[in-house]
Amino acid sequence: MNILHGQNPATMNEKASSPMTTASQNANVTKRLQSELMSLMMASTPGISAFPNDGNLLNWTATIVGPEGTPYAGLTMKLSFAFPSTYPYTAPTVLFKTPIYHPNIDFSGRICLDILKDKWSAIYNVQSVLLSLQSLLGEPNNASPLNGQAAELWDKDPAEFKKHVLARHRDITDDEAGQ
Amino acid sequence: MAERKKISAEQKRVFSSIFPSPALIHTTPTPIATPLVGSSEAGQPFGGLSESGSGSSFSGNADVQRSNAWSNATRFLTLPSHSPRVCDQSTCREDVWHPQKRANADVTREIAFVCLGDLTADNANSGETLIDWYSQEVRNHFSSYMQADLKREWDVQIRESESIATLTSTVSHLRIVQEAYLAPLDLVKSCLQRTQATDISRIEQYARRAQAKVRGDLQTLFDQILPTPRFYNTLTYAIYCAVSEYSSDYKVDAVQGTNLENLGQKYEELAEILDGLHYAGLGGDKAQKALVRALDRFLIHHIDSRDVAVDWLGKNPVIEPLRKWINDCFGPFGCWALFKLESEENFLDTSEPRETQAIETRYWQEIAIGRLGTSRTMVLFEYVKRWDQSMGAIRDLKDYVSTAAGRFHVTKIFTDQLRGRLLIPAIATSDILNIYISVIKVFIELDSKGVLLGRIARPIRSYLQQREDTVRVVVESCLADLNGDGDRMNTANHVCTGIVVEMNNAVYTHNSEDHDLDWEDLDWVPEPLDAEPGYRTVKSDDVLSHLLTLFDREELIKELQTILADHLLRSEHSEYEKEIRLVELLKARFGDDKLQACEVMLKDMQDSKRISASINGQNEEAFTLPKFSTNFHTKILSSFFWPSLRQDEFRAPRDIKTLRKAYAERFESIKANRRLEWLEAQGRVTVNLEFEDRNVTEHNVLTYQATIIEAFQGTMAEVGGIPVTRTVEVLVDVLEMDEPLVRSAIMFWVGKLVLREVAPDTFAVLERLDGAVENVDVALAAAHAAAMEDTDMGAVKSQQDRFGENKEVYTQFVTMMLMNQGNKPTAQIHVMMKMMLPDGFPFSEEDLRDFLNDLVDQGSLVKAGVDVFGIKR
Repeated sequence: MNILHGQNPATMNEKASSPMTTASQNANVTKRLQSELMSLMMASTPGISAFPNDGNLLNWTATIVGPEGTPYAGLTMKLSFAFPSTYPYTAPTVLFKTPIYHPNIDFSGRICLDILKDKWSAIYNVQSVLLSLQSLLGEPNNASPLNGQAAELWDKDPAEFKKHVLARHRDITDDEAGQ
Repeated sequence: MAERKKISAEQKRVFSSIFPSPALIHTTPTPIATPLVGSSEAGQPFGGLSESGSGSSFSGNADVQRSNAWSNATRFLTLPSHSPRVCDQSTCREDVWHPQKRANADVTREIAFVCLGDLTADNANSGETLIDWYSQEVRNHFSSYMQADLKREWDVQIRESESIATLTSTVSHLRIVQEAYLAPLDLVKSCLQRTQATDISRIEQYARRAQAKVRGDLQTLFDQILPTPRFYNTLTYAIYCAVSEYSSDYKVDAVQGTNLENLGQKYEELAEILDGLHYAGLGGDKAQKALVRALDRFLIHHIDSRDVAVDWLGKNPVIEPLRKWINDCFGPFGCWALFKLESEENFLDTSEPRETQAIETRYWQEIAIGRLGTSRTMVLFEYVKRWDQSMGAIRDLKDYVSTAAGRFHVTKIFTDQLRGRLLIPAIATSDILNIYISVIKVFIELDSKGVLLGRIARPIRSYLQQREDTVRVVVESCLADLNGDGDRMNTANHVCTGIVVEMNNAVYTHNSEDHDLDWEDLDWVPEPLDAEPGYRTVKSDDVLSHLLTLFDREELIKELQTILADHLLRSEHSEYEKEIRLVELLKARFGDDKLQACEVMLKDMQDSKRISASINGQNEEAFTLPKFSTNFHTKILSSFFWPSLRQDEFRAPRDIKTLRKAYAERFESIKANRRLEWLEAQGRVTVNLEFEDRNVTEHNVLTYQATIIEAFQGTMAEVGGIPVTRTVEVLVDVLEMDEPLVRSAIMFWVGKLVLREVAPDTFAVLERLDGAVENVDVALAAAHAAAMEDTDMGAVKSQQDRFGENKEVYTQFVTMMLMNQGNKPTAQIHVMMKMMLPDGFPFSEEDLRDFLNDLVDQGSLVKAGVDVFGIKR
């Protein structure tokens, strides 16, 4: 899994052409997301979960619990998923809603992860994205950081890094998460 | 005296200038002893005669002559100071009350002079005429001598028995008074005629005007004197008595032709009263109102009477007899009485009444139909309940609902009755459906176009749609048997007998989607005027279509599948006649494709029968095992098309397993590549139990029940002389059966007097029945309990089971939702679950709340407020 250099994530989703009409697409997207929700539920992987926001299946809120043995251990982080109508042929837009201090995540919560960018494939799903992000928390790609200071501290001073992580972390309210 | 008179005259003049009233300026005749002829000045009243203005223009001579004549005339016409009734008629009439008799030539001349003066001075304000004076005299006389008499008569309460007598006496009194007062007018007329001073027509006119004036005054007086309500109520009563008597006479002798003359003779008293009232000028509005009130009351009475009662036996409407009665009896009477009161024709005897009578009678008929309609509508609900004995009553309403007012009334009243008496939680769905079927039939009978039905049925339909068990009851009723041949569903009270009957004579009707677009339909008629937007023509007696359109088609079919599955699995009939019939019927309505699953289910049944037969037939000896009969039949289901079935897991008895294995082998040899999967919970077994003192054979025992009793197998001898005893705990362990099932099965056998509880949770076989009487009660109670439980043990999974099955998923779902979306109230969680879960969430909010509370108790959720749940952090 390669981490891309600091490209603007927002521009990345626009290259896929839409092969189907919007109506049937929406129905397909809804169906797909519903089944993803079910499989996510049945799998019940510890530390990750996600659920659609009220009345809109195309926007989800996800929760990742920081894995043990990382500076994020015990912290809960909220993410937002926005699925385009071409999903799963186009990657969802994923953002960290909880402020986080991480080499590959900028202060707006944007993530630099290849599978959310040009390596996206229709075989990925919410669960795999969340698992990737969970592992990214423990193994950042310091070769192409969005947050240079964090990348530097990660290698040099883990204690200081942890301090920064805790300083930046703040549990957000449900309202903020839903936005 | 002259002085005093002058003053008083002066005062009067002043007073009357402010209050001009004839009563105050009325004078008594000028006394002869003090003739004041010619002494008056211009403008001065003479003898109280107010000759203002024009009076002064008379020449002195004419004035004097007129005053003189006036004085004489008035003196002569003065009425005697007693009532015309109190004196003996033979004596009084001669002189006092018949002035003609004593009028001499002088008087005649004087009167004629005064009258002629009145006649010539034809301008209206020429002062008081002789007639004015006379009518005033009459008024005064009446109030002084007559009024008290009349008043006394009516001051007391009139007893019913006396009402006719009192009325008669009053009316005759009025007549005498009136005749007496009018007599002098005849004199005046004859005086005028004798002088021949003017032409006859003018005299006639004058006389008529005079009479009208006096009559009018008298009428007003009578009206004032009589205590109006009491008088007219008494009159109403008298008429009511007469009409009711007449009606009963009519009934006794219905053949006798009646006519107005007969009436007159028969009811002389009433005729006299009515005539008298007319003569006294009282035949107007008030008397007519009294008459109409009496007639109306009697009509109401008649409609409530036995004669117009519902014909329960013959089921014939009573409308025709009622019309005939109005036509031959009631109408003629009413008209007769009315003519007596009202018209001049009464006296003149014309033939016009016939025509008027026809119109009147028609009105009365309409009113009667209205009344009958109202009266029938009041208990319409009862009639609907007792359809079709109540056919007669319903037909009576037919004429009524042909009017707009009638339709409205029936709709409104009946809807109220439905709301109050039927559409309440206390009424079982099957009863509502039964009534609904009656409603459909009744209103189709009333209004074959179905507009009324549409209006009436709407509240029932929407209420039935709200009830959760309606679909179930309808479908089960469709499959139920009326004759009760051991089918268990028969005993249940949730079968609507009406539907069962309807099913038996249902016709296959094709559901044509839109009648209006069918251009080939030569019988097309436009919709009725008052049809509602959703109106559709209904086939005359197609009750089933009404019921089946109650529901959403998908919902109905889904329910049908469930119930049909249950039914097929329970059913022992091999023909499935009823089931096929129902499915075919619905296919005709809904289209073939919708009922595919049901068709497959039916076909499964038929196929299994064939396969079972062939397996058993091929190799009979393979199944001859000692403990069980060789009857081993299977029902092979295509699981894809069947609703999810109950699947209680437990260890089947070994013998059964052997049988199954052999059977499965056979099956696989016939149907290659197919595998049998046994549904433990679904089988039926015939159990033969041999006890020391008796044999018990139970048919249709469920597999788990059979399994339990099998566990008690063994004779007393085998186990050392004591009955076989098992505890619930052991059974649960050994059979790997859920405890509730074990208990339910034990209950069943306790109910059959096969087992009994020897210690808590420990049961033993009841080898001998002697001395077990005390067990009967226990057994009965257990049987009851078992029967109650039985309803929960349907072949198809119950809601509760399904909840239990999906509990994991639901827990996960709720946890994930609350984890990511924060705290949520129950309602919102409910909505989300319904929306997001692939199979939906078929449970109520109430169920969900209980479930969430359970999760709180388990510690996986926390309560974050009233009815708000959150994740534990």
